[in-house]
Amino acid sequence: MNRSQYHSGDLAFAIILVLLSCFLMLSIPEETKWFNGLALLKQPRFWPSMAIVGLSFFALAYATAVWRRVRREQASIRDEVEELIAWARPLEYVAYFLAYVFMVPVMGYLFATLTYFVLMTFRAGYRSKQMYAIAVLVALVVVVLFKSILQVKIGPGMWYEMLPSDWANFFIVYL
Amino acid sequence: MDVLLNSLEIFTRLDVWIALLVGSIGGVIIGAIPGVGPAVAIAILLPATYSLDPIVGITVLIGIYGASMYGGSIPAILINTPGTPVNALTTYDGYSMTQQGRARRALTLAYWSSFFGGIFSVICLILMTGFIAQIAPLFGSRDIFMAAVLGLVLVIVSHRGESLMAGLLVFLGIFIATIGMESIRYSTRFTFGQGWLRSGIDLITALLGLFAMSQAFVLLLGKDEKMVMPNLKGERKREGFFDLWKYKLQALIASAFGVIMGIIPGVGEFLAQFFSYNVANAMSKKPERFGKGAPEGIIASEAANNAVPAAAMIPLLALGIPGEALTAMMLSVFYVHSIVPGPNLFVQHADFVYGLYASLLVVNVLIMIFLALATRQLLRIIQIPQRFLGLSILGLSFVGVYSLRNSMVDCMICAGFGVFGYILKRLNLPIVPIILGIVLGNIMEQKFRAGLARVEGFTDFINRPISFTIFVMIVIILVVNFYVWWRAYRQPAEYN
Repeated sequence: MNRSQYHSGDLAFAIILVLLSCFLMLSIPEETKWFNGLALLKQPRFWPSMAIVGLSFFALAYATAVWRRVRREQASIRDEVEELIAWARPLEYVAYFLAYVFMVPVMGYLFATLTYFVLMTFRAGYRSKQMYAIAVLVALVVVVLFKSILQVKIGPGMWYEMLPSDWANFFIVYL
Repeated sequence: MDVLLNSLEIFTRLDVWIALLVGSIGGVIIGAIPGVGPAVAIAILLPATYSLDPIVGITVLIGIYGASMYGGSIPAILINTPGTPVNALTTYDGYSMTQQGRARRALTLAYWSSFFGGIFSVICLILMTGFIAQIAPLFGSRDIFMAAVLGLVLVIVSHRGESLMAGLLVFLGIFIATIGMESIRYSTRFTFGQGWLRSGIDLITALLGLFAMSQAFVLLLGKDEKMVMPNLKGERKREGFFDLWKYKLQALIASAFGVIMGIIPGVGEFLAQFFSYNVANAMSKKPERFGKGAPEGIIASEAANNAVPAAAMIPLLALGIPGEALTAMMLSVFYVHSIVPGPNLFVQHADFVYGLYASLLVVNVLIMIFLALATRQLLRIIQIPQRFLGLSILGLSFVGVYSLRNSMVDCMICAGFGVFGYILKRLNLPIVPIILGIVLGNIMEQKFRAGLARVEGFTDFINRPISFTIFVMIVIILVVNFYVWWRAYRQPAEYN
């Protein structure tokens, strides 16, 4: 019922999950309400408590299984630390993503998307003109497909308001 | 008869045909690109389909779901890399055939097997409709609650070797579904005083983070690989079709496994393939050829996995219970359009149900036409650089999550789920249980509370024939799995 081979990071992950379940267990009285006179099964507290009990049970069982594997395979702390560092690597891209999110209400979806695709193409290590041309094309296709054709709800950018009124209306509605 | 004619009327609409084309062609392309997969594509497209007519939106999504498996067989056969995870088994015999210079034959066989499986399951779905329409209304709140519990139990036990983590993630998903204001007493739960948590965590936000963003991170942090495509010239296409005709019994059995496994919540393509591949192996006069280019191997894998999507619609439509991540995503489209899948769907929206079946049939035909015309062109798409694909998925994730309510907080939550999904992928742990935990947890709490009006103790939950039968099934599954685990646990000790 559990993986038989140890994988770097299993121990750290198990510890995090046990700590999370303990924290949630201790938060139950504070974060849920108990209504006097109401049966246990009808309490709003019942369902999240049931989920947390289940979570805690499996977290402990998983941690125990991982600990057995750690002892059996003599896992090294160094590998564990390296794996933890690897977990942090996407944070750089999370920062770029959030920068993109913050720029859309300012620059507008079209300009923010063009900027995002071109800069990310650079960050991903591509240097050829062909890749930048593809990046611009993909950005345009994405904007036209989602905003102009499918009309997904993405608010207008502040930059659009600086355009002449006819252009501004077009950009706000379609781009 | 009127219902049937009404349902066929949808094919007079241009938007339905566009949806059919987008779903089938888009699905094949998405499936053919290793690293994307239908879950990522559906998660991104989901909010965009909210503004569409329900039949149009669902057609796009189900088209992508079914078509991606056709497309996924292309890189599996040509470069030994499955386009979608469910095409992994196809690499065994498909890639071996490519190495033997029979790539075109393997591809054609995979296409025809997929078509056979797809059509077979839609026919089963149509034939079962009368039965489903009769039996579905018999399911009350308590029965649906027990069916959802059964789904979760199956999700946990079907992740063999990872059951503990699957169980943990299921309960984490159930917990996530409880965050925010509950709808009976309007009290807040686990909001930690944060106003932005009062409305809870949106399913789409979690889906996009766990599937799309995590995959974007995997691709962006990896390296581009040079792919060398085999030459497809000089081979006859028809041989693949003749192979399918020769092994029609294997195709039938594989499709039947696909239908059965598709109906059972939480099981899906992998077990269907596993069983059908083993049966095909056992039936073969030359079992030693399996894994070395046996046509029956490709038939078993592709017919089984393509029979699943239509069958997976059965628990979704009849009970409102999604069996896996993709149908869980589709559930939200139903809710947005106030079409509640479940026992009453076949009575109130019968034309919608039949329209969906007809769309499934047409999608399979369109996919075959597209593949006959465009396989060579698809080979270029497979070679898109992985990191460029990653940055594109990250950019597209923005559309999916931001368009929900233009909320930056949603984007941050999505990014958090993305990092969590990335960690799960690095540890080779499953993602699907957490999604099913969120979706089924929500359904379970609703049905549990609805059922409480008629019960006094827990035993009242299983005093109905259906709920009791499901309860017995749950107990049997748990006992059998515990016995299997106990034997495996004891074996090394006895050996020592």
